[in-house]
Amino acid sequence: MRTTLIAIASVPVLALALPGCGGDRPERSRPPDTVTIIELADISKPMPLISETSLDSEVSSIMYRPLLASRWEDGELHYLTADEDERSLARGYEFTGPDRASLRYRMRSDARWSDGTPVTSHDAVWTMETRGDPRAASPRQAYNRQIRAFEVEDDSTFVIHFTRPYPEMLFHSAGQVAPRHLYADHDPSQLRSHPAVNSPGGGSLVVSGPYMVGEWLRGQRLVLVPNPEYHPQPTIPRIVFLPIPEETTRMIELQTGNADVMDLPFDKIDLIRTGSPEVRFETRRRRFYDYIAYNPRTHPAFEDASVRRALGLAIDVPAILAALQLGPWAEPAGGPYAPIFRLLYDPAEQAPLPFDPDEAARLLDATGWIPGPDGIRVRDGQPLRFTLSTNAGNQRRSDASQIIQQQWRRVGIDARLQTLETNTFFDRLNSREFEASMAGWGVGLSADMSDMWTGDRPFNLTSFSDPEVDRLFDLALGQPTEEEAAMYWREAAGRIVAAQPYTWLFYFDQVVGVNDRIRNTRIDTLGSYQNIHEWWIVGGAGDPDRADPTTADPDLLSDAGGSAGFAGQTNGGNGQDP
Amino acid sequence: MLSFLGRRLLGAIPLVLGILTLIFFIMHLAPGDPTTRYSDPSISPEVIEQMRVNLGLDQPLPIQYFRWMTSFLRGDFGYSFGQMRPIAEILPEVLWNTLQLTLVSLVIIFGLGMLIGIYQAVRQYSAGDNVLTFVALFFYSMPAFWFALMLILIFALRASQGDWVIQFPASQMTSLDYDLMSIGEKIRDRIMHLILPATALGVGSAAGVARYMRGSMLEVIRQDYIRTARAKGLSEGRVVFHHALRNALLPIITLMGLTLPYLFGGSVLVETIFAWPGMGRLIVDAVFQRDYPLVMAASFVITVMVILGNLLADALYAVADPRIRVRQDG
Repeated sequence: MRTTLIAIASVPVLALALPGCGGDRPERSRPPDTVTIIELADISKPMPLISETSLDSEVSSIMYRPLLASRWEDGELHYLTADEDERSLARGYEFTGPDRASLRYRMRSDARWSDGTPVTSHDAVWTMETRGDPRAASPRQAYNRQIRAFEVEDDSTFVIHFTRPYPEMLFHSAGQVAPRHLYADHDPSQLRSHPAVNSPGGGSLVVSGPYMVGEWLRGQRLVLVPNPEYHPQPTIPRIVFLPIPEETTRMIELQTGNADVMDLPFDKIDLIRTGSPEVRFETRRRRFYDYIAYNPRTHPAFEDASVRRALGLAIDVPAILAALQLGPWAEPAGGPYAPIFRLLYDPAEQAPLPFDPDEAARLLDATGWIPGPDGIRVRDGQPLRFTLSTNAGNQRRSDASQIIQQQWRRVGIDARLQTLETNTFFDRLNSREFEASMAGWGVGLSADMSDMWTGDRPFNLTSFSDPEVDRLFDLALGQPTEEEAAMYWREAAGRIVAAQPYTWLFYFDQVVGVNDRIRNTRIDTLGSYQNIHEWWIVGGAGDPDRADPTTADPDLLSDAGGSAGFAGQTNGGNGQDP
Repeated sequence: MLSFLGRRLLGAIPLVLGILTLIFFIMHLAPGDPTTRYSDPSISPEVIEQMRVNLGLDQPLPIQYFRWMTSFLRGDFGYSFGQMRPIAEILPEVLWNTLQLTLVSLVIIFGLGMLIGIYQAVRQYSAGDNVLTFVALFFYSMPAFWFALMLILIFALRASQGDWVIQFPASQMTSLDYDLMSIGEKIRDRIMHLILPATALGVGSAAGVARYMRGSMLEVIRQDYIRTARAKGLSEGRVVFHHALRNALLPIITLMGLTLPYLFGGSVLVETIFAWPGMGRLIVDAVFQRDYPLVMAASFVITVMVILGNLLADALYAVADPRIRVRQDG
């Protein structure tokens, strides 16, 4: 008995002494020519037609070429042809037809799928047709709303006929292309269970971009390796995505050098700055904002724009930013367009509300909400009391809601805080079963915000209604270019801000920690991995100073862009930020 | 004995079906459904509705239940709504991951716990007994997730910063270059990745087992037959391990039986902290995503394990105690 117990207890000790380790300090688990990226969760669907999460979209953009790659520059999106960006499938495009409501793409003929099949115009048209097929239930189906027909002229030329010219014809058509020959015989409603999507490793998922799936162990790791049919070959031979849900563990992996790239929570940035000098910070600028939505259907006080304005005036947003240590990564928000949008942001019309509790009190007095004996304002015997709900698992919002509760209390507003499980929270938010909610939006790169502020659209959370805003939306959507549409979007935003259906709290960045051994990254508003094929590792793969930079190619070190688009756009759309 | 077990197993079938039925309806009562996560203005309501049709969620709840139960009774767990692949493929992968972790932690729980308990009983009120009592209570009252974080901070972060001889990985089941390793390196790599999570899972429970074992052993070694064994001149080791231990094991056997569901259910917190893709994480993710078929399948596995665990405890009891065996047979 004793011998058996000793034998069992000895197994780990003996194992530690197995070959390859002896008594030496173990090697780091990161191989030198591998870039390790840590994400909160695993990818879901590595296929642009059905990609669901923002990570899906980012990974899709690494694996699938778009018709036109894109770049975020001077506060707007620029589309790049194959002559300007190697990843683009289209050599050029032109608006045609008497009213310029058609768009002809001319594709390059040298692009191939990872199984050697040429990429043709049939692939592009099939992708867009399937995207619009209700059976496929593609999250980007709405991009087909204005598309009337497709016309394939030859293997490299096709035309899209739109119902009318509008500013986002490129945005809705220039995205990633999926391989028709792999999926065309498959029932579109079953795309999500296609064998190649569920077991994409070893080349079974046919792609056209710089990287393909080498291995996918669900919940453990996604390994991307260079696609042999993509030229010039990407610099880094292996990219690994690790899903690690726990924040502390993620931070330790970055601090111990086992991770190269990861999103950082704001309150950990100083810790990394002081303790890990090898980590640098890059940002995706102002793509997100937090807000409080007021639902007039469930609380009569919120029917009055003056009350909503008073609620906003009573909140000291700069103090909240200071308390939450958001520092340079955030700024007070005033409206639906963040300052990164050069054409859409109007600092006069969308200026943040000042912190003015006196004016808030005056507005509340004027609307009949008079302080009661316990300090809570009352009108017609009803106290100004409501529930402010937010989702669990977001410490920033939880902290901010408690500060706001105190600030409102000082002007006689009684907010009861409620934290709900994320699914329950969004279900109630979308079905408008809330009084006031604190949530966040990831800002889309499209200017079109009509789905959030029109009639009974599902994301018009506050049931906002203004015929003049609807008219401005129609005018904007009827313009041929984004420049011409911008003035209408701006004016509509100004009217929405004046009505204060939300209190816009703050725009904030996504801060990304990058180990300094990884170079030539371009992480900006468009995304984190837009030029991942051009990254290189100091002293490793692609280092121009290395004696034998086996995979380095001078052309790869040139500046190029990310991809936006239609099928699996790189963060092109709006989305709730959990 | 066999007929007893057979009767118990047959009696468990309606219990399992009842539990699954309850879980089915409770899951569907929760707000939201698998399409709630598409909270994006660019996704039209028609697309959401089509997704619900594709998943069969457009049908009335009784029909969904009937379909699920029919398919379940045929041995088909269906497709996961989140992963869109057969659950029969998902469960074995995840169960194996969990088993690796829980089996090692079970060795820690019962191996370490029993050894400590026996030592404390034999050396009652010694300095060693007092120190081990303090240590056992310390670890027993420590939350597993906090202990897990401390282990990572010390043996992964501090060890790395201090360039210690042995450093443990903070997450994952294997290293990134696992495929390039020799067999010996692979075994070592797996063990290195197992040590911290298994310790986090096991040490607190081992402390509990040690307390049980100590109390049980103390009761047994005061019995007359132990005194007789000693009087016969048997060595202390033979008295403790041969005569006393077997009788002191009865409460530990009950604990072992009740541990079976834990073996397959995993631990959400420890799996989350160490990014270990096991059953605990799978179930929680499935609940959050409203992945009904996956929740049902995982619930079935755990329900069956609870029932089998109780059966196993009864059977082991009979093996360890002939009086119980005689009564059951009689």
